[in-house]
Amino acid sequence: MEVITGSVLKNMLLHAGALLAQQKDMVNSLNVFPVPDGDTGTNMSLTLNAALKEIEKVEPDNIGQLVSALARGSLMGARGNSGVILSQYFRGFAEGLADVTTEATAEDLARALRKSSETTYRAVMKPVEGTMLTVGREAAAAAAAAAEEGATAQQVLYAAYQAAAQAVQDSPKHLPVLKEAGVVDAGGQGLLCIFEGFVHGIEGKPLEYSALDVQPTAVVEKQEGITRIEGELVNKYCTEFLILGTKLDPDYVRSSLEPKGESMLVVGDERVVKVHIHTDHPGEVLEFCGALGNLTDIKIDNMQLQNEKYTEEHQHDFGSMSAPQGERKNIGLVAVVPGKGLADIFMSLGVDVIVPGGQTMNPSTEDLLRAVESVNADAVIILPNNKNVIFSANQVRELSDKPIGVVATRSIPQGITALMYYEPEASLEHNLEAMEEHKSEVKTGEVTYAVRATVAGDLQIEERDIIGLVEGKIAVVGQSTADVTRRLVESMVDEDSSVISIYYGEDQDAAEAEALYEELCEQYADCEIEIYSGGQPLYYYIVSVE
Amino acid sequence: MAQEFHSDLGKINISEQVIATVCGVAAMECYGLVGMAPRSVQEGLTDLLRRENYERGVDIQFHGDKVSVTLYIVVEYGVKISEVARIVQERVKYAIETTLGLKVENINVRVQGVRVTQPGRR
Repeated sequence: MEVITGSVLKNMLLHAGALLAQQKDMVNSLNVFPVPDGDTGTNMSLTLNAALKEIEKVEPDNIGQLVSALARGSLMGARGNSGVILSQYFRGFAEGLADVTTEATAEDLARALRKSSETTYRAVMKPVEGTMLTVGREAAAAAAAAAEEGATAQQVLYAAYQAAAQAVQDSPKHLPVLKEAGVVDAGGQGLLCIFEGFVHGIEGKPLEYSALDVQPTAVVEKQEGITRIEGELVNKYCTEFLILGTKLDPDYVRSSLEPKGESMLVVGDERVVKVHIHTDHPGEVLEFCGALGNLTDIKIDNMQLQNEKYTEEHQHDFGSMSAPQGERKNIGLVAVVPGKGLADIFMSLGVDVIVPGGQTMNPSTEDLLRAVESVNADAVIILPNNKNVIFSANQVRELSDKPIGVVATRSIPQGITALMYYEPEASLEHNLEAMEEHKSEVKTGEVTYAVRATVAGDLQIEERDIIGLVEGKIAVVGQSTADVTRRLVESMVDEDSSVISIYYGEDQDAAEAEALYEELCEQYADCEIEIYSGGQPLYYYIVSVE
Repeated sequence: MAQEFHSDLGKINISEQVIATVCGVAAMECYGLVGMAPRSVQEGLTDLLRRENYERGVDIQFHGDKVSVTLYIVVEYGVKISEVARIVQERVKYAIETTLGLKVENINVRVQGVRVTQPGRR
């Protein structure tokens, strides 16, 4: 392809968004600490998706306008360090193509890539080599060289892609921390995914799915699938279809359908509009839209029945749970918990609302805010139970009208210990102080698997090895969960210990857990030992010793 | 004022300047931040500080055993400033907790300037 038209460029960007969305977990796993965690891929994907949404609003014929929307969208949607860098990258890209209207030549593309790279370097004091910055620079250099030799736009893109791939491969040479962990740079890999998407786009590969389509349905799935619905559901028909026409107005469709249901999503342009709505009157919705154009791909699901089926099939999964609303309480409690069994335990200890979440599934500030608002109490205390949730929890404090306290619990055992000091009649300040003070009296151990090979201190860890962590630091490595758990408990128990509680995860065989329990009872006859089904994902066992 | 710890062998004293430097270095690793600004801005004049004295853009206060930090920063034009500021807060808190072992009360970020290197065309 000699030149790139606006619609090809748009296709390239959609491919990049789709590929990044698909690969974001892989990018996340490149984080240097070997616990399933890290959000570089997620942040970049969310930033790119925000940009794609903005692109949908402009005509793809004019390249200058298209890239300007790209820059604007990624700026507004920038998430995390890598997302901010990506937004700068696109801003440079937009500057490079600002004056291009219908066709971008090889030179235009090379110039845009150079501008992109230059812009990313401008906004940092200490550029670190072996990161996304390097990948962008190497890609730009290769693109410039190819354009100089008279290559086509497509060949320029290939050259950039290959150079980016090489730079990602080379990233451990610049950064010892990557070399030690045996990974490449996550941000660099993310940018490489974008280049790879560009290549798919320029080759005209069919887009298997659009990141834009995926995101809304993902959100909806969460609402339909995981939330446990009690009682009769309002707006129970999930209705989805496309309207095909000539002069459609998505805004008009949106405002007309608004009163008919909830969770509404209307996207599209003059020729095609996609509608998604939860309603009790799917017929009325279809009737109305049918008058505007041709309807196609109609799908109507009864979420009530789906949910009942889902709840049966997924005993271990669970959704946000609420205690029955009684009298207005002085102080309510909201806890973030990763498994069904643990949720039940927290509920039995007096928590009003459970928000599902934990390692790799952090609830958003909005989820927490909604939970807090739903509690029938004058003030609310949040137990984040994970270090990555504490930040969101603190943000809720500023967003809610109610007085909110956050006890910075970093693990499930800390959360449970803090609950022991909850006094429903005491003041918010008194409760916070007591819970904060006592939460660290417990020691937390966790058993999970390494997502890839690494070195921690003098421990050599291979991918899929079972690892035991004490207070978030790797302490034990082994091949079997039982063995690692045994040694983990051994390293945590001392002469002052009196209670050992074990919560086994959703993938853990109950019989093995029982056997372990028997064994521990014999070995630590002085201690009281308890075992519960926690139902948490990722962690085979969570151990608390106090 | 400096922060003191007691160990069995004696006193450990971390000077305020050290804490400020740790904060300054951590902040400067954040993408989008291009400099620290002096704490008092006279006549709206915010000159960029050289890297060697980054602790000047950092204000340290102790409340009990917790430290409260205010950073005066300059960002590059065109970045999402709210997000950069949030990242600065997270990184500085992390640096203080891991390298100094201090408890953080709060991290305040004051964006004192925006640097425009090449005015965009739009």
